[in-house]
Amino acid sequence: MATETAIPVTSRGRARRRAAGWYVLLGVLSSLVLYPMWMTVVRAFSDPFIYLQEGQPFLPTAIDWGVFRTAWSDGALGQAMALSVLIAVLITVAQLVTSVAAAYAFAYLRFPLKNVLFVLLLASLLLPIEVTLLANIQTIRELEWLNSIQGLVVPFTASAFGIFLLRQGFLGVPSELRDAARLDGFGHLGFMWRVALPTNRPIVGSFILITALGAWNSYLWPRTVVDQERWQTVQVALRSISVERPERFNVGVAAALIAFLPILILLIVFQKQIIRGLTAGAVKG
Amino acid sequence: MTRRFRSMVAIAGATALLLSACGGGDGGTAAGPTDRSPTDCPYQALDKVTEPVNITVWHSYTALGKRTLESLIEQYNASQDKVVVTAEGQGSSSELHRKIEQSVPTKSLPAIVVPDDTKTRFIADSGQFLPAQACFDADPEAKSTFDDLLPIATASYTIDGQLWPASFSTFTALVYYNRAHFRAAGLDPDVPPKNLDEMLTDARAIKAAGVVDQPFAFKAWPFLLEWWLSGVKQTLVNDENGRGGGLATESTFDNDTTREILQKLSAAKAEGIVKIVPSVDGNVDHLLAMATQSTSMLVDSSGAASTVAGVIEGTVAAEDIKAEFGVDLPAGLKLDLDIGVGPLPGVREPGKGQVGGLVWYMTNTVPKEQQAAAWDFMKFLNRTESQLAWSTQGSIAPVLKSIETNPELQAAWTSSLGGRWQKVAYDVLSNISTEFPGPVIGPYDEVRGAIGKALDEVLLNNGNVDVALKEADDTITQALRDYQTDVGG
Amino acid sequence: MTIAGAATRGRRSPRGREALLAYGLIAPAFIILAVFSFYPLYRLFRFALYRPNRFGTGERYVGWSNLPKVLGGDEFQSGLWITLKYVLYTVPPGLALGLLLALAANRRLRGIKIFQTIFSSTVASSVAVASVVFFGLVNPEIGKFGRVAFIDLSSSDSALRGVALSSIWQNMGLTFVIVLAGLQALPDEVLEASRIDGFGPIRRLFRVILPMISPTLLFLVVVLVIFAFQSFAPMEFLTGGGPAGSTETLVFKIFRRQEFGRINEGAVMSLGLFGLTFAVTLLQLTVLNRRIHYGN
Repeated sequence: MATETAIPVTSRGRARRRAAGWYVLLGVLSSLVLYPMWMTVVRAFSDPFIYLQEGQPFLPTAIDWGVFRTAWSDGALGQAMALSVLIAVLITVAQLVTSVAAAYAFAYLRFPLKNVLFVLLLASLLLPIEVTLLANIQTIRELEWLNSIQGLVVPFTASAFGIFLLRQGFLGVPSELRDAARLDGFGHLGFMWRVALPTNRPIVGSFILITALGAWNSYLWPRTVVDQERWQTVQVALRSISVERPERFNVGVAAALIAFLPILILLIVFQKQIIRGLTAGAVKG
Repeated sequence: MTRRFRSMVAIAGATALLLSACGGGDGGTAAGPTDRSPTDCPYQALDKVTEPVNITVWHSYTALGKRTLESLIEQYNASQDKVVVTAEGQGSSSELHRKIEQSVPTKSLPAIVVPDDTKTRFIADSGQFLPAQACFDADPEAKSTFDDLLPIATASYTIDGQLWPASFSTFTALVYYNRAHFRAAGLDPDVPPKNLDEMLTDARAIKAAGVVDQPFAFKAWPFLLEWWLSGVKQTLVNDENGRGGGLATESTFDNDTTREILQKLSAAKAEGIVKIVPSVDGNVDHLLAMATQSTSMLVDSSGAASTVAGVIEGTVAAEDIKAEFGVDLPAGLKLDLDIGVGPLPGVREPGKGQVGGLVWYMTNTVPKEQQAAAWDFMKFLNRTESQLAWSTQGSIAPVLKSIETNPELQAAWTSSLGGRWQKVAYDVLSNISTEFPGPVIGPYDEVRGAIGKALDEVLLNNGNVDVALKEADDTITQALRDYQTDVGG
Repeated sequence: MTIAGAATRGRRSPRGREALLAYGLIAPAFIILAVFSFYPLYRLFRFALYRPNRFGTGERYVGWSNLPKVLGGDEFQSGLWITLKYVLYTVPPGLALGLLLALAANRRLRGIKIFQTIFSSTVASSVAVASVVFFGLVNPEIGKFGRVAFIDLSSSDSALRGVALSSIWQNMGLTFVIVLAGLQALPDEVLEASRIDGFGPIRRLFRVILPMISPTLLFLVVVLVIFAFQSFAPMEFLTGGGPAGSTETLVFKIFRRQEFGRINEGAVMSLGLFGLTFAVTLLQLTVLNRRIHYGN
């Protein structure tokens, strides 16, 4: 790991000043990130009309502590969050199962057309939902899957990215472990469950987190497939709660904070795994 | 290649084929949409039902109208046990239109849809709707209602001799002006501007008196331009504005009146007396400008009248202010505003324009019991009591001629500021000439989009009027021709 | 089924059964991809070549010439131009900020972990949340900076820039995380060597550090560009595509073309977006491969 090395003891005075300088810079940069968040919190707690009249100050005015409860009940956030959680779980489990299965096959098995199929997998990365939207929504309409769990979940039950990631992990399992498993009489299932997956726990963990995060945050597809209010996921509900009612903007931002906070906590707790998942492919070694 | 693998491929292939067969992917065959599905009104199908029939209504009502609708539905559901009506708001009018168009190919429309006044031709040509005329003719109970309907409404929504909608919520446009500003500029506060020229002159006077900088807030709505044209009997398209018995196939948008209007507005903007507000859905900047008194007059729907009046008198509830305008004022707050209204100032005369609003259509792709249920609900909506509710609670003009003499309505029309304004709107509606009810256009959304683009080009981007008009003209003609091909005519 | 007991099952060879097993394992993923990634490509071409009747009652063959016609038409061109502008507004600032944050936070200081967590925090934000946050900052009526001319959402010249702010902020977390990982992967020896050689910090940055993390930076550029190509939610939340269509990106226009009357145009635009993504990815593969060698 290449990080700037520590300053020698002899120039501690100068070092302290230099450190102070860095802290100032870091503080300034932090405000870039935190200022929008802070202003959002301020707006959530302030009465919207009075806040505007006061020229939008840095601190909340006319604080309404009940705003989060209002956001929850008014926007039916409970229902939306439950739906978001459900589809995040379903999508993550499904992607895990289909990706592990396919990755195993590509890593350890031989079969005809293996290379062709692998290239097809690569090709599917060029077909994200933004490109296939019109065709997919028509398919969903024909299946009568609008406003349904199937419509929200099924198109995302496979992931080429996941297959690549897990295949990479499986290929990294030392061949001695494979041989040992075979000698012990384990079949594919046993090998996968007892060796391949456990040794790749970090990657699997990261994949789960990234997938769940992606499913929770997704907007375009849920927005397209759902037009009844009770089928809105949290992200889609945010639009009707906040932007369509700017006069009750405090409720809208409160709802946004409710949607944001759990993920922020998740990020802080699982920072390492999430970052590993995000940087997969970005950094060599 | 094992046999099992081959069969898996076959399954995958079959899945794909099955899915494609389900869709509208037939090569080149045109089962013309003018092959109309049965147009007999199955109004008696409710008699034999043993369980309640559920029907859904797709609409785009907001604020007061939405609350009125919901209370009427509650009343209806409680008053009988054969039908249960559920309303599903679809957002704005254009979102509802898109939803309807997306549902037509898979024939998945609900029993009732309530788009705006521009959809009639599309509705008729789709073959998936039941013309209300069939029910008015078949059902003896409804004859008196039919005769009582507002003439301008029936004239507007009748195509080829058939009245397509069963009910309507009509709006017109009014000019809202700040009387205090008028007084300060030396203008008579009781005399609203009568036409476009007067609006501009009044604006000039207000600016000269130093009252506000941009006295006229103009939201660049295409429908306003269309109404101005209809008001002076200028067609938008050929074939007698689409009412000549066939389909319109050419635009007449590029004409002297349109040019005159655009040039006047453009010059006024350059002069600095007009604040142009983009006409994006949900943008209420012009209303906010009125509320903060940074502008003196604007033209808007009569549907807003009751709420505006209520705000001024401090009588309207906070949620209605918020739902109508996008400003959250504490309940009971009186804005110190002295606002007056007048009939829509036309190009030459006031009160000339068109009927606008939301229109109730019944589909024929749902089971007969649902169609009968829909008709039953329509009859309920057309009763005097319901129409009274629409007017007094919903700020929507009633559609029955006979209701004008109703004492409750008369009282509402005189007792409050909002009521008086509603009367102004009703008078405009009852006086619009039935000779020129406005254009009938199939691809109206595209046409309106082209008109909006021309407006934006000239007023927001300061483009050249002739260029913008020619471009709109070409787009409209192309849209009309494409529509004609789709209808198979 | 064990690996060992394969041959006892009769006429099927171990190789055949392995293939069978493999196909069974990849089938779920491939069926989904077939139905929701590949089949749509076919349908898009179908919609592009056969214009469906708006009532769903048939279709009309419009031919391959329809593709260049729509791709050269006003709508696609404007969508493309706006999308490319969005790339310009979000990628360089995003990259610069990520670099700045990572360079600043890549050092041993007490509490540096806290700053690193802060810098990465916008990763937790969805497009919807970021849009709501910035609605409160740049909306012309209720936004704190709603009247700043450079990012004014009510003017068609500047609206896209206002929208871009939300994406730049949201991307900050991701760009920081990726650049930091790249910096931390640099071998100590090279940096020490350059310091011993008398390279000042600025020179070290430009001559040693940046070249060495250039693969990471390039990867980041591609990711950010593809994000920009896919932008939809910020526009929906903040401007509804206005004013006067000046924030209608390609995906925004595609989204508005689901109904049969417009799906022909939408399908061609989708194929155009596909081509664009293809081109960018191809660029990444070729340039990145060359850069890896250069970086050593």
